[in-house]
Amino acid sequence: MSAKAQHDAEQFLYRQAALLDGKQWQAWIDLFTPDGVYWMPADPAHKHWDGMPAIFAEDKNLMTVRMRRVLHPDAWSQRPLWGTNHVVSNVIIDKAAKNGDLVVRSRFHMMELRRDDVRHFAGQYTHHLKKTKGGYRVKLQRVDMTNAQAAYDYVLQVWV
Amino acid sequence: MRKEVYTDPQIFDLEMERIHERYWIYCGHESQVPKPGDYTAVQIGRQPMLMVRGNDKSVHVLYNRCPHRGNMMCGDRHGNTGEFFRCSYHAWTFQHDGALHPSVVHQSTGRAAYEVEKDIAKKTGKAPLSYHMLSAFATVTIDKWDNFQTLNYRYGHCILTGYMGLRPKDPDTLAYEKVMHKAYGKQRTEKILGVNIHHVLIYPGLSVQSPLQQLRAVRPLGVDKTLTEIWHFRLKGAPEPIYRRSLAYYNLVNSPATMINADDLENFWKCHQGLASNGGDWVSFGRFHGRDIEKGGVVETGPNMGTSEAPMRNQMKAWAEYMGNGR
Repeated sequence: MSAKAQHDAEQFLYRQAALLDGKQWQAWIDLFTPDGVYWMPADPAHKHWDGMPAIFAEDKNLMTVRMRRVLHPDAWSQRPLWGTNHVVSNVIIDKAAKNGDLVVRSRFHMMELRRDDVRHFAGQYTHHLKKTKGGYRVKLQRVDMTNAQAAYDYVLQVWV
Repeated sequence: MRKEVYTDPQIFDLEMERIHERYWIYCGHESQVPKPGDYTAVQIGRQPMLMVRGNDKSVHVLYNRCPHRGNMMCGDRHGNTGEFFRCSYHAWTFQHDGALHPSVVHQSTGRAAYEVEKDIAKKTGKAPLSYHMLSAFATVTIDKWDNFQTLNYRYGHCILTGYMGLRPKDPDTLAYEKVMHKAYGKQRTEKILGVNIHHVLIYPGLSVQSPLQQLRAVRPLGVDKTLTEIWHFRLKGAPEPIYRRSLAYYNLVNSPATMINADDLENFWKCHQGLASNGGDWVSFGRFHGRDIEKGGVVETGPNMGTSEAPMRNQMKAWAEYMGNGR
């Protein structure tokens, strides 16, 4: 595993998380390949996103619906101030293909503030990254929430 | 002084009532709301309040509560409400001085899904049916919802007719109907599939969306906390795409990352905030009251009265009966 691949993968994950914290929704969606999928399984035992109940299982079209929803002036749940803060770490390259594609595992902590209430989420990302001329693109991002099976006090409005 | 002055919640409440909610309390500085429509939310005693600048430049202070269901009117700490306040729950609209003003719409997800559905159709000829499940919620006017009907049964049960009762004519549905014909015969199949139901509410805590095989069990945990458990079902012997349709709906509408219920759940939370105010002792279920039609113990809402609050009246009537009706 090259030190450069490790560095590049880490930079990619940090920048992707920064786009979420900065509410740069379109730029975040653009980091996916045209057939890319964002998946948060309902159960850590699930092996495939397709055909299973999931918290998120979104292609770029559904990501676009979500983005336009949160930007719509009548999305009332967006009216209280809210923000997130991601920390991504423990970055491990699980697989590196000859063509530069990577499978990268990492851990995240995310603090969310809505009005005066803080919620805390943590879990594991698994990124299937495709190497392109413009840098890495996400073919599949799997998000295993530590609290995937717990009851949610309020919904997840956007991607974690 | 007795130490209870500092520790007893009942004395605290009395203090709020007799001092902080009765005498002059600093609300805010008028420079916080310089332009018409500017508002800032403030807590006075136990009361969530709004300070707002009116079009005539005067400053009004209102309870942050919709008189309808008690929903908190403004979710943000401050901002500009424009010409009117509009409640996020049922779009009741109010002028800056609190006077009621008629108008209604709600769109967010429905509108976004409609746009993406159109884009996909343009590119590929046809968008998956799951987009229609979302885009159908896009509302232009209230008339659309008034086309639906509610049937209200004894003991608080209710059927909402309409949208999900539609039978699409896509190849998947037709394949499913073929299986149904084989299993039940044509007549019985028509009887089963011809039922025009969006939602069945079984009092006190079950909600069934049979056309898409969804079931919600609503379990109260406390006055301000409710657990909703949601299940979806695979129809025995039905083609796989029918399960996929149910799953798509489940993921889009009922998952913890729902794009449909996010605003609803926010409203339920806001109701509890608004109801903390003394802005009124009553919650209103009066829409189209007196215009219900009773047939054989079933209360039907009349034509063009789909937004009637008859289901809530019916549920609360059952509630009163079960609770002993003052006995």
